[in-house]
Amino acid sequence: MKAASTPDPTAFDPVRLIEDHQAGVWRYLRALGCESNLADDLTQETFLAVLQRPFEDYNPAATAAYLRRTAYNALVSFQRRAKKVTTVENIDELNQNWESWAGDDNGEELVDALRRCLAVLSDRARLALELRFKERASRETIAAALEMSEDGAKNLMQRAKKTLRECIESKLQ
Amino acid sequence: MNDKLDDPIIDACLDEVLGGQSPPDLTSRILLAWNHLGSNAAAPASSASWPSDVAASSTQQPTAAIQLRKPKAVVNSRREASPWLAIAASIAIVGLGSAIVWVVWDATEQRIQRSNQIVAPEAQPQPSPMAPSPFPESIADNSRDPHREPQAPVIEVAPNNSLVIDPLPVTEEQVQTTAVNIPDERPTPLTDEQIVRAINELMRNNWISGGITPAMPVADDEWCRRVHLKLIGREPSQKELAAFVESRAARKREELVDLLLQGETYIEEFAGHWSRTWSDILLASGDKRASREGIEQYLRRAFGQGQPFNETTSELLTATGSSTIGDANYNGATNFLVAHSDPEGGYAQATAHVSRTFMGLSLECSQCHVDSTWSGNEQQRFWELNAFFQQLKIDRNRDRRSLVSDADAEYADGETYYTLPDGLVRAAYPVFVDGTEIPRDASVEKVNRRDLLAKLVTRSEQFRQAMANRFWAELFGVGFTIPADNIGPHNPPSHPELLAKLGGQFAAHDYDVRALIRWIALSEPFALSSGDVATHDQIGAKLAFDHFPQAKSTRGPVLSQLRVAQEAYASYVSQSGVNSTPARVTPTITPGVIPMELSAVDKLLATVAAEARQLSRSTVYGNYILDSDMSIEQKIQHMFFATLHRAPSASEQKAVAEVLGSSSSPGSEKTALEYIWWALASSQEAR
Repeated sequence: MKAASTPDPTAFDPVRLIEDHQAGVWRYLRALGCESNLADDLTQETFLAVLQRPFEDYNPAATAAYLRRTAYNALVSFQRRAKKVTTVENIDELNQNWESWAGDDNGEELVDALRRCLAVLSDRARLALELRFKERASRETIAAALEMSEDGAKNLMQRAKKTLRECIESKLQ
Repeated sequence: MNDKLDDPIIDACLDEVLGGQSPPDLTSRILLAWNHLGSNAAAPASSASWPSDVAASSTQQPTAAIQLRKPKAVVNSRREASPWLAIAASIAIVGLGSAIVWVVWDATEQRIQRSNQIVAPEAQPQPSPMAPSPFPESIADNSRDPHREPQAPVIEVAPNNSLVIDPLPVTEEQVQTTAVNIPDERPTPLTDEQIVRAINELMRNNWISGGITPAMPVADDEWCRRVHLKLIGREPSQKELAAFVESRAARKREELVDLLLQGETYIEEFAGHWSRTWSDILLASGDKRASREGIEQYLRRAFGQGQPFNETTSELLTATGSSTIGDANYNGATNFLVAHSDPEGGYAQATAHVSRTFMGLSLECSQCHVDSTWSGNEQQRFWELNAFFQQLKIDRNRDRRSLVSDADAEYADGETYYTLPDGLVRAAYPVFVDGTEIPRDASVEKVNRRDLLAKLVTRSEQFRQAMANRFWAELFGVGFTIPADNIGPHNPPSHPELLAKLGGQFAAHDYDVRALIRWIALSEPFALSSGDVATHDQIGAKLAFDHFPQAKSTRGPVLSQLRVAQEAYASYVSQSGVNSTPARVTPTITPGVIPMELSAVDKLLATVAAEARQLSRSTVYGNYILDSDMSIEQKIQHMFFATLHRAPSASEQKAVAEVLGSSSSPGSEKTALEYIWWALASSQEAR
């Protein structure tokens, strides 16, 4: 990716650029903590920012990295405007993980791996995550459903996520 | 931003896998916004353009732009001032004071001038601002009228609760009201035959002028299948198909359409199909707190009873009560606003969805920036429309229940605030897209803004044309615009005259959905074959409807689909342990010759698995066959006739036997049949 002094209008296809990379940008923004609506908006801002500048599409990986950087900048800009504190504490680590897990396929394989890894979890752990992410249940509700304390529910979900992470790492190696 | 980020990537993926929050297709939206930006830089907007003129009718608020107060927290980033403005403001702080003095003085002068106009209204006779006219004409008329702005009417609520209209926005002591209702003028209804003839003539004229030769008409069997799918959402049964094809009645197509639309035996299927279709539309990109079951239930009743669509729309816009089935004050119609409610964002989403869904006006981009491609007033227009929602109240609790009600607006005039690109915060008062103002009273008892909005929307030209376009799109797979919910000079309809005619007659026939569908289904374009698909369906091209648009897909031949089904079913058996002999997943099943990566195969199989059950169970006939007491052989025969209108060939029988042979458990045969149904229904031949 580099700035081009004389942009060639035929050098890239904006529709293809968007279609090829929008899912990756959107997922990356979600991983940065954006709600889906904000991810929609910032994905749009990202592509608008890129499309307004001349650039050359060297290869998909470079373009994806460039788009992620632009997306991150869009998020930072949003947070500054909204006077919000950045919630991603270790952006470098997140970027590194994202690069290794989802850097070249928009995160498709990552999502696929997670789907398969859910089978590894115990029934209770899977139920807890389903209540949390599918039903949007509060920790209190999850704890009640599993007949355990709220701290217990929290620990259960954290352990489940850790298991998922390890499983994903093994599958994506 | 969410609050559960102990492992952000895993959390985001779980949200997607378990919560269903998958990446949306934003291509059209981004390209549209890009197009606006590009046009912006290239040239100023034409004064004759539609949104420009419509927006020009919006009454300016000369004093509002200098209000720097920001009385409530604004979460939406697009409503926030740019950070550099704070620096600029501090540098220019000395000059700002004098500027404010000047602007206030200037605004006062303008008010005085307006007051002078008000006290002598007879000096400027005002044409009716609500005179009905199709989009293009009214746009052109407005653009040529330099006095359009002060013509914006103000509707007041008289003591007897009737609506009265004032020709100008004025202060209390200046009110001069004239009693009028929001007009609901409709053209003279034509007969069904006249309307169908008009569609055909307008289409043919278009073909002739464009030198286009339409595709050949389809045979009876294909037309029968198409009309079943489009009107009631399922394939015809073998018996229904045979009866239609063998009929010698001269008007058998009309009779079949009438039967599917009006026949008692089809009411449930008609209502079910259209309630599912409209639930998809109304809940698209919506919050998961909304109950799909609730809104489907509501719509099923509305479509089943033949409720005029303007009434349905009004009920959706004005609904109050609980969105949850089983609650004492349950009202399924509330789920539309619940799906798009963002109380913390000032209901910007609700504004955008109402505008787009019911008027074909895509104003999302306008909420955050001035779009001079259109008018320079789009942002103001968006927030003026948003002001209609300032009495809307949606209470949510943790168990996904939402309660919709109306309450007095937060501020005295019920205004909403937004940020201009230059950082100024501006107030917006309720003004409809055609420039009609309503009183600024915040009290629900005095002025119920959602009630008025529902009347203004459903009596607007935009509504009737947007709905005609939407139903046309549902029957053809593509509307007069792409997408169907975005109409304007930036995206003009391919057949403006026809769209205006259909919209007008839809209104003239009391927004009778069945009548509108009947006209479209009996039109000549609906009966054309798909023709050479390769030469058609270019996105962005104006569709001539000289062929029946065919959905793009990666569907394969029946045999190929059956092989995919076999692999998918074998994978299912292997994973679920239905069969004691795990099947091997071969990474070479494919529509193509290139071996696929294992993950891609897994994804394909997962998709097939999800679609298999959905496809087979989404139709009455699918359920009937799968649950019947017929033998496996009979079921297979029926499935072939239901989807392909023919018996299976020898090679297909062999492939079917291989799918069934993947299971040794009798109980799992039904699942195998679901996969076979998927293969048949998703084959190229089934389209």
